[in-house]
Amino acid sequence: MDYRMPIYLQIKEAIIAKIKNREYLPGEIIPSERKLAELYGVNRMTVKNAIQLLVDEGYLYRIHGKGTFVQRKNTQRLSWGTQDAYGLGALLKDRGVRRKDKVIMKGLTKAFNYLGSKLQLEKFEDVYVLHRVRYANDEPFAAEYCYMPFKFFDDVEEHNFAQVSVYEYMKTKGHFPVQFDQKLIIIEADEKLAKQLGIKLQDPLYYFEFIGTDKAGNVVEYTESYIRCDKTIFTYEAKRNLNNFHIK
Amino acid sequence: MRLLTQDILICNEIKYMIENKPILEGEKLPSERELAALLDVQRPTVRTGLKLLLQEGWIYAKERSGYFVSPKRITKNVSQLSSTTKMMLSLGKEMSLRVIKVEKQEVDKELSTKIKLPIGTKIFYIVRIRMLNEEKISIDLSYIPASIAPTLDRCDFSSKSLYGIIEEEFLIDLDYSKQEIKVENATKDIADYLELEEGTLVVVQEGLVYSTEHEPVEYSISYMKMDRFVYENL
Repeated sequence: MDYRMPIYLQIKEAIIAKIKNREYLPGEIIPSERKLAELYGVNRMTVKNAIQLLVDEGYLYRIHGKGTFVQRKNTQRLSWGTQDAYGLGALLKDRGVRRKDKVIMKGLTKAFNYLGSKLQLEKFEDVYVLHRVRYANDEPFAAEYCYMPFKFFDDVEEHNFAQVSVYEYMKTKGHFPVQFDQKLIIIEADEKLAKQLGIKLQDPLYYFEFIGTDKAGNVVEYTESYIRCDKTIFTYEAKRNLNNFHIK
Repeated sequence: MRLLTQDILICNEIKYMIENKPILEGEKLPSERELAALLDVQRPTVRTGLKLLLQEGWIYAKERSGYFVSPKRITKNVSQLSSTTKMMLSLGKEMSLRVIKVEKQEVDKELSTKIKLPIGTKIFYIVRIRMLNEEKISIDLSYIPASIAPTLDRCDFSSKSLYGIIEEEFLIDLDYSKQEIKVENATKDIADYLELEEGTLVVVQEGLVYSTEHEPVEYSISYMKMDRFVYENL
């Protein structure tokens, strides 16, 4: 930073520095405009301009009648976890996020060894593949490959999963998953994922594998989800009691 | 457009071979030519399939000698609050925990928002490093209110897990924990502990454990190497 820069920009940088070195913590109120003006020996309007910029850029937020607060990172992200295993779609809707799904590709394929082992199918059984990029508030946040055994979902091709939720559809077919095996690792985005998700090469991604089983014990879904780490935090609740854990 | 690109199919089939163990950890993968013949595809397809596997950390490359199967990741169970020492291990691996620090401290401003106790509360700060054979794979920081475990600094951590000590010696019943898993760039301190370069991406698992009395028992934060763990609900 240069001392010849406009004063309001210098003050803005000074506040960002205090947020970064955690003098001002997420969720905490920052000093009033009057106090900041005093502190830096400037006009209140100058402070006001700096703070407006910080609000616009998402560093701070205002609560009317209370003051100006440091943005909590988490609230800008989407928290979800094992208790929300019923799909990202439902969760996003619940939180009032504008969601949109884009179908990249769909259709039938045959199970080989890998899909066969995940979906408990014989080699060459039909599998329906649905590859979608999922958007929240017009920004892509997840790329998903969903695989379903065609024998349970023989009219799957008649549905448009840009609009219809996969789980809602599964419900109508009587093969709604009630139990999930989930696996999570963190990987770096390759070119294709980076492009689909609008991020940089090697940016970190949550990579989830879900295997969903219906109440009759059939594996009805195998899904691979690549989710942006900068848009989501994976949260969950762990229980001490061994038999206490259920995914509803 | 093809439904599933060939490279994804190839990548998946090789995953199957690794998961179902015709090829073991540390073992060399068949050559590109052999894989092409085996899977009945062109060599460039195999090459892009291998690239995907590299990216996800399933295999690693050694110059001029080919691709090898990466060490199996350590499974961390995220649905149960169990001491991490119970994590599943693949054969021939030994995991150990080195206690680096056990120190009495007072809660500062930042910690108070995490552990939900007032500034100045006495706590024990415990730093442990998890080793897999000789490799440092994670660093675990724990903060435990001194009021619930007044003599924690005199306990023997080598023979018992932290949760074991809290439950058996201080008779606190652990109940549940709210946890999150995210990714951060390693600070210099963390990078030094794990022998990584500063700024390397690490997985951060952070959470607050409550007792059955709904009192905070432990705030913990672990920094883990990205390619070493898999998180599962078991």
